[in-house]
Amino acid sequence: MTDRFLPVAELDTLFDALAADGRRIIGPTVGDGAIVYEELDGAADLPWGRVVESAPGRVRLGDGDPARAFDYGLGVTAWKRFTHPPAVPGARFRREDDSLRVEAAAGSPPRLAFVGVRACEIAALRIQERVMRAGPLGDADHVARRAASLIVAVECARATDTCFCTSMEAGPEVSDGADIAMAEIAGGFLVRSGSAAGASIVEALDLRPATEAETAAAAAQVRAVREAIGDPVAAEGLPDRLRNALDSPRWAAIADRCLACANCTLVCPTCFCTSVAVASDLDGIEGTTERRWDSCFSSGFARVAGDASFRPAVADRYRQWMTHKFATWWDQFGMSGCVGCGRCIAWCPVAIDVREELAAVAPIGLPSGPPPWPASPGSGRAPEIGTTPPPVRAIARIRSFARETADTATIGLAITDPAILAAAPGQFVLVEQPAFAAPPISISRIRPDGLELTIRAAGPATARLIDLPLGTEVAVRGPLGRGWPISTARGRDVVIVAGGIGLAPLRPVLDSILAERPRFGAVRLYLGARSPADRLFVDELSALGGRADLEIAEIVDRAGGDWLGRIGVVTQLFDQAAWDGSRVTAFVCGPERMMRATAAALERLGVARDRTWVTLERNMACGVGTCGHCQLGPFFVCRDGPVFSLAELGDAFMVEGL
Amino acid sequence: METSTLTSLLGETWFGANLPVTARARLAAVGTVVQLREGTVVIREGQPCEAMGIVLDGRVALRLGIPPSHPRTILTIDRGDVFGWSAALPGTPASSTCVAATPCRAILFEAFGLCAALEADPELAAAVYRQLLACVARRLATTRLQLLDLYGSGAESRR
Amino acid sequence: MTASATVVRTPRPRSAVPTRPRIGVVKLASCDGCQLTLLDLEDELLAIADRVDIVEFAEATSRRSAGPFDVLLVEGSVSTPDQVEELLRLRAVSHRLITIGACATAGGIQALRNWRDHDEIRAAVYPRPAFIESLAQARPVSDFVAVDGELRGCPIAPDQLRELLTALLTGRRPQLPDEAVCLECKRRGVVCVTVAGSIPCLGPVTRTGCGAICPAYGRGCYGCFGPRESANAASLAAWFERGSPADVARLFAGFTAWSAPFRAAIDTYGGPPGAPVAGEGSTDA
Repeated sequence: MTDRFLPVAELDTLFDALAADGRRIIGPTVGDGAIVYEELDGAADLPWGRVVESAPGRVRLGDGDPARAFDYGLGVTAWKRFTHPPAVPGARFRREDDSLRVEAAAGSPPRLAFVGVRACEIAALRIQERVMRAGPLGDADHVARRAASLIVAVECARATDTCFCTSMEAGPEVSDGADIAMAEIAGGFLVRSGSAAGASIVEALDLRPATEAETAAAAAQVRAVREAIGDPVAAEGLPDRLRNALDSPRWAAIADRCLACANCTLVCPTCFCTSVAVASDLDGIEGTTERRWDSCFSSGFARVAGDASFRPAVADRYRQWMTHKFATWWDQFGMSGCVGCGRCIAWCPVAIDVREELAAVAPIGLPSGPPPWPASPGSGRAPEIGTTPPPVRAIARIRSFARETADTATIGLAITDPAILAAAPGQFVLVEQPAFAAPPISISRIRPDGLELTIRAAGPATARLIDLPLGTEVAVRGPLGRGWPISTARGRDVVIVAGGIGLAPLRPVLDSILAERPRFGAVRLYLGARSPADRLFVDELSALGGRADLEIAEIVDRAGGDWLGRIGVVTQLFDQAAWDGSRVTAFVCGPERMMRATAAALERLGVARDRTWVTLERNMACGVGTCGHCQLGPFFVCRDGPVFSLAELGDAFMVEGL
Repeated sequence: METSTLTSLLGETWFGANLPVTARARLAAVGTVVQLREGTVVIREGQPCEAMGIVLDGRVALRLGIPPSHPRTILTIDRGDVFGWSAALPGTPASSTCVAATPCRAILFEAFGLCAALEADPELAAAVYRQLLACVARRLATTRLQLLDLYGSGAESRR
Repeated sequence: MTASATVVRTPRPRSAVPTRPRIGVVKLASCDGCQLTLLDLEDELLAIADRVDIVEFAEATSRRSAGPFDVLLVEGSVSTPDQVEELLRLRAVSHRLITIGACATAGGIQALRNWRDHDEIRAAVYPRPAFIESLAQARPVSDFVAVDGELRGCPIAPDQLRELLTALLTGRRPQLPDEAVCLECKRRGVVCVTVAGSIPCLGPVTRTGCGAICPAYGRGCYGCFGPRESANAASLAAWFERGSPADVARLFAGFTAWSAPFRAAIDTYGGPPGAPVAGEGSTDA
């Protein structure tokens, strides 16, 4: 379609047409000494004659041509404020006697028109959409908000000192992705529609076609912007350069300056990480959840029970942020996580400039070693929408309870939902109850009419779960994650190594194998526990002890005089074994350090790295790969795992603070 | 027992299997196979270590005295593993008490004869000490993991 | 596997806080402002009073108790020898001791005297200093006894107090984030006062919880919630120094000046305003 021309004096007709389409108009305006995106009443609210002067750690409003409305540059926070809001209500849980009622927050999002969207911002919206729509259904809230918004782009006519969209191939030219694309030239706007929704609005404006001179003026204008920005970041091979820079000394140097204040991530138009906050009444009978913006720069983000954090140092967090944006985003989504808008530079309180840091951390020409983990598919590991069955939420009644150790118990849940009963060994569920965060719990037995969960009271939520009376209902979300690839072990010897409560997710493996025992070779089970009193499923295992087709050996870290069994660590049970490692498929679960020792021992015995499967612990919160907490290099542990082969993990299994 | 029988017994343990064939035979020459009744104390912590042993069957417990409590077993060792390695280091007292936790069969190498054989035969010494170092390194790795108390509280949250 | 899970319920202890906990509220050296926050929870106050026994709360009730307490909220810094003695006694009779406010958690504004000569400052304040029994330094409660939890702020935030009490009653872990004020600022959509206005702001190194009140009104955070986890006060101070070097120590010398990261920044930049000699007296007594 040809470009049209909208005289500047008639800009309000566009606003009127958008309003007539049932939309509230969000656009740039001056607020608190900066440009903010807020609801606009009309074109008069636009920042006429204002320009943003931005430098690292410094943003000021200056004066420009009063006849122009869109010379300002960029707003403070990105459009994600409207598509991925800072706070989104989750669900409401209410206990009524034994039963539990759950209402997911519903409501249709407002119909919005975003006016003044830049090329880099369109790219950012597309990136967030890829993130939030990866997986079974995508994030429903995000999908609905995006569907209800209309993008009216205005191409940049001015570069700021923090722009680098050119290097990230995200601008400054608006090519596609806008419903309506405009360019501000002398006397008015070039207008072009980019979608059916945009076309119907533009047609209603009844504009004259743009002249060739006008079109040329717009092209020259954006060309000048491209030239002004130049190519500040050497993007060639950047993901590989960064993957090879995980040990760079520069991370510590950045951490000396970095405040870990999270500003960069919150102004970033693609950062999507969130946490769930829980609220309740005083009795814990009714609780609600809310999803809030969070950041990989806060220590709580990678924290697990016991106050341990997977990224304790600020250097770890900065590395996580930068490598995610520019390297592991490609692994996950087949695209860069950065659009070069420069907000992280401008709004860093201590002026850390990501352009400089990229050059320092991952300079071109540094000798590169082997990649730390295997390459991901070109489109990224994240599944496209609709390719996996969606997790469901079901109400489950606690029907059995068996104490395992002083702090661990197995609860049996009666479940009717076939989607949850279709769970596979190694998968997990989120268990919800009013007033508590929903902990991820791996499934320790799959029955035709329910699940068993073996839960250790590691924190208040898990302590409460094994303290609920029989007959109480909880909500279960799942099945989540990728389980053990048991079928790949058919015809082979199987080694199962469990440490502590790591036996829980391995019990369904044993169940499956024993259910079709002849299909497997030798099956050996090696169990480690802290003490004799900390062993799980004791009666069950001793009942299995008599089977000739199953070898079980156990060992404890420490014991009193009444223990006649082995004392030491679990690797001792097999590290000098005579069996043929090349015939073995191994399934391993326990504390990460124990799994590392086990993996090393198995490797020495000749067990292939792609036949050694471990299940990882990370701060898994959403379970579907949209909250960011459980990221480990190229993976979201909750969605891509928690079960991985050593070959898949590569160095991601061994790099501290990743 | 015939040295050749002892050599083959030694070869069935991982300690011995990893020795060169000649070294295995020479080491076997200074060993004897013994049966240990459950509860037999082979070596006492702090005393001169009079023999080194390799477990053939059964289980040996390594115990440390922690007065006033009863001695605590800190490690058990099974088939193929070594106890009393201090015997190969003249002048080093035993670092733990070695007790047969079950009825055991073991090859014992009396300290004096063992040290004399190792001193007389540098090739044998190189092979045996290399194996002993591997054993001690393995034991050190075990001890470190035990120290970490990996399965203790706070070590993991999921599940 | 054939064995089914045993359906045997062994008796298990309920959560550590009894169904109707005995709560005490006490103060040391402080202004009472934090205690008053409890009274500010107007909507919930009756409901709370319904579920707990407030057995000691001089600000609100004439009932007195020497303990024991399931939960004891302690306001104020430790400034006199008597307070040390009283605190040790209270700790012994309290199952959980929770400090509330900048004074109890960091020493408070009065800890600014810790940089000054004790006798001199006593003489300056009191006509007959000989009658005044005080410690050389005003210090946080955690310097003397183990603390089970803390509410930061000057004064504490009603929302956080509500969360603490709700968590205690429901048995969950209170959600009291230790992240920077900046996160709340950005969630609210407040424009950064430092970047857009060159206003020095302690938000990046200060723990959240206030709702980013000060930046929302266009002024810098003065750190009344004290340092967040991983507070890089040194880097922020170095940045402030580029603006007005003379003010750097003053910026950190507020309600939580005596907290370790802020104290270090103050010492690096010559001590708080009016302090006799840079850094003197800032070592632990």
